[in-house]
Amino acid sequence: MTAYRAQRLWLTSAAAGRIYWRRWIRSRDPLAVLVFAGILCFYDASAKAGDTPSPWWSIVVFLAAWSGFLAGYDTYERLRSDGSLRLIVLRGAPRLGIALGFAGAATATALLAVALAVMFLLLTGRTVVSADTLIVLAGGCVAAAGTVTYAQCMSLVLPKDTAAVLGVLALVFGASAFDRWLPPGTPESVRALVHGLWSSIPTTYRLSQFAAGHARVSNVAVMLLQAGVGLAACGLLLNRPALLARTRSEG
Amino acid sequence: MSNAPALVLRDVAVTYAASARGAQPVKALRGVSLTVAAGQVLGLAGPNGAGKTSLIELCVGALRPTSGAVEWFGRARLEARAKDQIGFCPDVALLPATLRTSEAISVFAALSGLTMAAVSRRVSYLVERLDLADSLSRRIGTLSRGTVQRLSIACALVPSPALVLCDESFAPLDPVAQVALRSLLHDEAARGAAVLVSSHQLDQLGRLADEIVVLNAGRVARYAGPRVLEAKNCVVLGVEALDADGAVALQTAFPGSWMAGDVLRVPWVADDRPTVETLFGRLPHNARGAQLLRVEEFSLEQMFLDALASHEGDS
Repeated sequence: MTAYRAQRLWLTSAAAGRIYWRRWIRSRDPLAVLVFAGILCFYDASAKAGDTPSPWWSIVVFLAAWSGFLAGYDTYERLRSDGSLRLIVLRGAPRLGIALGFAGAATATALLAVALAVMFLLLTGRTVVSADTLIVLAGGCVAAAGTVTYAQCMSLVLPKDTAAVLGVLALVFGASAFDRWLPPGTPESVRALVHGLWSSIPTTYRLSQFAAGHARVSNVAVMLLQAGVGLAACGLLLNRPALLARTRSEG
Repeated sequence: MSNAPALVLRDVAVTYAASARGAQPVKALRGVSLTVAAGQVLGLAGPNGAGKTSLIELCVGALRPTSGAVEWFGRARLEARAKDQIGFCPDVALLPATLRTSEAISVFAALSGLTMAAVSRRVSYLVERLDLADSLSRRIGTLSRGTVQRLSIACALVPSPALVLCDESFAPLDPVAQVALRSLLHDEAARGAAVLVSSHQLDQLGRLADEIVVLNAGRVARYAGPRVLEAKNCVVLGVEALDADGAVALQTAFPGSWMAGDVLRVPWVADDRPTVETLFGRLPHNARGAQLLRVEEFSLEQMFLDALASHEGDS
């Protein structure tokens, strides 16, 4: 790659990321993320300061990040529909640069959402989940946001169907790989939680796309839909040992 | 960049595939040739659906010609470096609604590889010329259509492009902004930029452009060069009594003239109104049967209407 092309790629990524980020930060979505994190936090009302951290708090952090990402994804769609992307491409910006810029900005959005949720938990006097789990979850958020957005933005440089198939495949493989990467000694509940969230991503992703594309529902509604599906999947998987034991005993 | 013209179209045709089963493909452009050189302003006029936007999209690289060739700065391919030299202002401003005016300008400056420090003088200049100072801190979504259009022009011009393409840029502007844009584009050409402007505002085109091409149904229906656009008067000759050779000889004797039914309109550049003696002194022998009907004020609108009428007659 020539220095000129590399420079164009970088400049385009920076410009696209900037547009994306400003769109998100000026929308009502950051407020929605805060409210959403707060509701889920208070849902875990039984926990007290100093208690063993509940896995539900991990879910709060994860879903806040995920909804943050989703809001960022919405930005991409809007920029595409209002023609801004077309003008940028016509201006000579490489499509790959736009895709990278958006994927980077979505990842940053997810990280910010994690930070917001953690800050919220700290402000309410709760103990946040252990540092190890937080790192794993934050890494998962970033990977999820980056993977899905990148797959979606790859539709700028690849046929849409190919990009969608690549995105789903990346998520499925990512889910199994991520499960194995968890450090030895990770509690079974956390392992099940992480795996469940990963596995639920393709489903919730498609559902949110359907909701946003066909029903014209608000971002908050899409986020709630995501949360619902994600929580259901996590709830089932958290009880996996018990379910397995029951199945074995019945067998 | 080489000394080649900024933009050359050679016998270009663009055909859109049929949008529905049983529908015919749409021929947007049919063999259009034109050249825009550095320092030149070429106006593009034509009725709705004439192919103006297709032609501009072709020039910006958004469309590929079905046949014929397009050259940018002497090259047959629109490379990334050449795109850096093109300032494009589309007919509908395509700018992110959530950005502030100043941010939009800086994003487009950054896309060109220019830092804000490097272009700050240029930005100040454009903001002043396009009267955007009061809108700099406002979000694009809250601006009026005319202000968004002025911003779109600023975004197109901020990297000081060598080729400026404006599609219907005058349309949403108020008269003051139209004058400001005309003056700005004139200065861009004086700076050395090649400027191609499409518009329905014939008066603005007439004052701005060095040459005007009238498109109709994808073809060049009329070309008006600098001498035609300088004309103040128009001599109307009756040619009913002439045979075909005489009519052709008459048109050859008066470059820039055009037939409109049974009359020939001759743009008259000289300040003084032509007398019968001066006019008939220039008539070829086989066109002596022509009659001087009247001398009227030169009108681009008349030229435009005649171009459309004669072109429809031809096709």
